[in-house]
Amino acid sequence: MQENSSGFELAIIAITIVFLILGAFIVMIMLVYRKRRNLHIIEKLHLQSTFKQELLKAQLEIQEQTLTTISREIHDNIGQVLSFVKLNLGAGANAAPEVMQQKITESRELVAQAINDLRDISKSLSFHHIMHMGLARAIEIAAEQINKSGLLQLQVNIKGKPYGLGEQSELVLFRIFQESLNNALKYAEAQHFNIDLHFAAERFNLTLADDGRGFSVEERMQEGSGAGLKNIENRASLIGAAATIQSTPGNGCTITITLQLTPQTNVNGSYSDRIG
Amino acid sequence: MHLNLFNYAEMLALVVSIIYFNRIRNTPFAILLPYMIMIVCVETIGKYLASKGLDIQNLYVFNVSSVIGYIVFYYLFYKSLKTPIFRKIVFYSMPMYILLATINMALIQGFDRFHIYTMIIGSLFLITFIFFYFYEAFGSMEPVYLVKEPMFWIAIGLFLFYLGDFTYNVTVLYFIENRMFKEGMRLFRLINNNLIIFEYVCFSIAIITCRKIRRGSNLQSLPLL
Repeated sequence: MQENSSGFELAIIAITIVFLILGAFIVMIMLVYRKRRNLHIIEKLHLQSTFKQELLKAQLEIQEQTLTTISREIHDNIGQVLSFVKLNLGAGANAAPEVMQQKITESRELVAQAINDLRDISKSLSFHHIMHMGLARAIEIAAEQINKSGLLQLQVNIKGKPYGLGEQSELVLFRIFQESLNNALKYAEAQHFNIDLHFAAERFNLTLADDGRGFSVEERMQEGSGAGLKNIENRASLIGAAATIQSTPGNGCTITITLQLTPQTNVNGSYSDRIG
Repeated sequence: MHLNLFNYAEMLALVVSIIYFNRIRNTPFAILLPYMIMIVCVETIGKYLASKGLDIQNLYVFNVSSVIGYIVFYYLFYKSLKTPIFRKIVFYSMPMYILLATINMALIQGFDRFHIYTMIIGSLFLITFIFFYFYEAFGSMEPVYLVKEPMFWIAIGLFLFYLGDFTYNVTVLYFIENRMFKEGMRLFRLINNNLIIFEYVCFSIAIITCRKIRRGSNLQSLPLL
């Protein structure tokens, strides 16, 4: 009886110890798992914060670029037209009635042209307006403006039926387009700039090619003067896209951005009704 | 009157809850102060009566205080859990447990015997609620620093105590029915009394980790009622 009771006591103690070890094990696993999960969450939050900062930066740069374009447009185009109207009207003040009538007609046409130019500028004023139109249309409008200025000859080719890529992706892609266009204008001494937008079922491709003087990509990256190119690569990776930069001295530069479409990509309907 | 180590652990938790009452005053953990006062009073008075050789039948005091204890812990889990279904389960388990314990003590086991059945049910409820808490702590999409969470320490203290005590609670009837009081008491001292020390040390840590205003701990930001 005594032996039985001792055995019984020992069994209870053993089971209790097993339960306690099991409990402690569960607690340890939970602590370790939670610690790892915390690290993962913090890393994710950090990435999200970086992403938001980059988006904000891109947004500010788009605004800055747009303001520069507008300022140039006002100065070079509208300002000139209005100055010509002023001179025209001034010259016609003491002229014969027929000459005066002709000056007035000319001035009316010039003012109408200035009004049209102002309307075009107002289209590019708002970043939200650009995003509302969709990437393809926003690029087309920007191309029209540059073509009008005669600084560079831009050609936009759209393949496939345009669809939305999500506001953030479109913002980044538009900024990449602006940056490479800026490079072509400022440094490449290019004459032509081709923009290909390929809306395929599984991926979206943006190809930006100029016929400027080109450069060695490797050398540019090594020299440290390729900050703009690195920026393009970094921004593309932010939206999950891959950027390829191809250039050799004398052969222009081609930048290709490939965005694989996943279920997470915000493909929010077609923009085709807004194009054209 | 000879006090055991677990008595000191209970007193420690009481002293800590008094010292840090300002921290826990506006949180659900404020309930730990009256709870600790009750526990220390029940244990100390029981010890005193035993030391004086006064053979007063006082098992009903333990029975009632343990039911209150379960309700206090359920309340803490109710306030800490966020998932609506878990909260609902804990909320309804409180009156249900009181009802079951009352029926058991009044009609089945009696007030003058250990209410083993409802202690086992209470422990099972509690372990389930602890797993609810662990589940939420596991799945939270926000960074949660468990060792800084008072409820984590409460949950750990209760989890290991009731897990360790479960086998004894299940077998205690066997000892009583076979009149193995000596063996039963020996096991009780070995298992229960040692686990109590761990439980109340955890409670003390929980109170100390409580802050007046802490972000990231939803429990502490919740109103008392």
